[in-house]
Amino acid sequence: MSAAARKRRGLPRLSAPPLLWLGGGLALLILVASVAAPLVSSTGAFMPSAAVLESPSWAHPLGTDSIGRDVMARVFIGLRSSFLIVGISAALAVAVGSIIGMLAAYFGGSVDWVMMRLVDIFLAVPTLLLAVAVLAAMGPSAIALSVVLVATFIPHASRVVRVAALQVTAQDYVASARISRIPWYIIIGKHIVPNVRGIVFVQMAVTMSYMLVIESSLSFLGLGVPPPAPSIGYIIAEGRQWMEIAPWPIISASSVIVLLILATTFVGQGLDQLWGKENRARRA
Amino acid sequence: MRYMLTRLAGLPLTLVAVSLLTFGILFLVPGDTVDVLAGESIADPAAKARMAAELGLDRPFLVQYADWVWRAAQGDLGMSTSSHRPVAELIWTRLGVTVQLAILGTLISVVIGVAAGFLALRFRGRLIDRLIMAWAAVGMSIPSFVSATLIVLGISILLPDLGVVSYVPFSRDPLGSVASLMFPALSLAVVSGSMFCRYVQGAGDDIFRNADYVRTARAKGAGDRRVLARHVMPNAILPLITVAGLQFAQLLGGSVIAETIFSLPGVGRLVITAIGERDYPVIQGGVLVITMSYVLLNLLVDMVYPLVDPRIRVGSNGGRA
Repeated sequence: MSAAARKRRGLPRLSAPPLLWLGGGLALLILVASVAAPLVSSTGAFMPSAAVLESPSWAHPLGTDSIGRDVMARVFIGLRSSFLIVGISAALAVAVGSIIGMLAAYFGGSVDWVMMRLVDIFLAVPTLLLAVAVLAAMGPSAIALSVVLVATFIPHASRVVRVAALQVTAQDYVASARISRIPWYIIIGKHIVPNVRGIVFVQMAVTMSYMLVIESSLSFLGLGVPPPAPSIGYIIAEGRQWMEIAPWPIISASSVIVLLILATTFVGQGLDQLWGKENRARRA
Repeated sequence: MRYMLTRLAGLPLTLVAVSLLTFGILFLVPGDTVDVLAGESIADPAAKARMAAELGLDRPFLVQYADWVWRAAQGDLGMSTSSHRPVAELIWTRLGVTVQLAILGTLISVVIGVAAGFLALRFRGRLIDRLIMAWAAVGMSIPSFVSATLIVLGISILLPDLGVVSYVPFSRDPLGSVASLMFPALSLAVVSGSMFCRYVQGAGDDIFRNADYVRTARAKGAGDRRVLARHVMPNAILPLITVAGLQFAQLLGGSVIAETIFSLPGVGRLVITAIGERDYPVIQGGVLVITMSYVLLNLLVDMVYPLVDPRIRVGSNGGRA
């Protein structure tokens, strides 16, 4: 993300390592819980039971939903699927985006121009609504959701990595490698990749936090992982009907997804400050 | 200037891409496109061929696309397959709600953002500053469907007598109409208000530290409060025009969620309802109208801002030391 884009989005600027620890710790905690919690739950996330809309108890720490399923198990399984979908999609989007960005920066000229105009087009459209339209047409599934997420975020990653790669390609050692007739893929692999690696990881975390917002919003609208598989958005959508009697599903799913988004944002900013500083120092 | 021209030149490409994607949605739908558009499944091959000819589906894809764009440009977005009314009419009657909601959401966000940013700057480095900025960080991480749901939950627990306010049309009762959109707009303002706050605080802090005119004002004996009100705030707020413009466009597209949760008769909810009814012309029309508005608004904001802030035109570094 360019400096201007970062300002436009208003990412926070707090101090580096504590943020990284806080965000990383929080994300790890949620990850571990989402793997462990369903194993502990007594009724499970899928089996309906007679204990309907119960308040939190020892057996059901977050209560039960309208057909007696354990809310905690559902929330954590939902989180796990969010993690999985968003993690894979973010990795793919950032990987493809980075390759595009580095190629555009290395070859410059018309290759760069064409690639960046394509990126501009993608960046100029409202993400959520187009995702809604495409998913409505394809029918909701985990695969369709990931395809939409990846396609949406490739442009962001490619633009950010391109800017970083441009600074590297301007260095003398890249110029001398070019003159020495070293093939382009080796120059990119040996000189450019190691220098943009930090930015790629930052972008990965930032992309995850944006994807989590979109993934949960889409599943709220019924366009995420199809039921009965639980997803955070769907748990909240389902819980709205009963929220006056049993607000637990909404409150717990909401807090957990907000915490996870916050955690990934913190990791992104922590990494940015860590590696941003390093990069600046190296260049100076 | 060169940037502007590049930006303008990109417009036709963007419009083609957006319309092509919106039109192409139809062909992503599993099953036969004739059935999809007819709204029923036709078994008889002869009847199907007749229907295909009637709907123009027997022509090549690009011809169909061109025809669709040509009609859309003239305000004909086809017929709804569920209500059998013109899509353009359905959208037109609902567009006002969506626009009104986005305007109100943007206004509330600007007020909250500027007020909170001002407070944070006024008490720089103190507890209030930290609390405000911490809240802004959290606020940015709350998806709008979460804030909207929690607002509805809060109303039902704290103000059970209020119930869910139904939308009052603007033409009937302007004040009542704005009041009926207050909570939905507030749900949209959680994220954008936090964003504006961070923006104002960030810009203001930067100006405080680095701007020559702040040093000059200080040297002339101006106190902290006067420097903030007269020198820092005006310069910190001006760039908000861009951010607010972009945010307004964003809210147009993002209001799908608020409209669904608060049952508002806007374009977003129209699209969501149409998904349930598999009414693809309505989905296409709604998405096209909102997306086009978004693209054009973004362009407009980029074009207008240099007129407001001459520093961009001159290309200096914005008064920084």
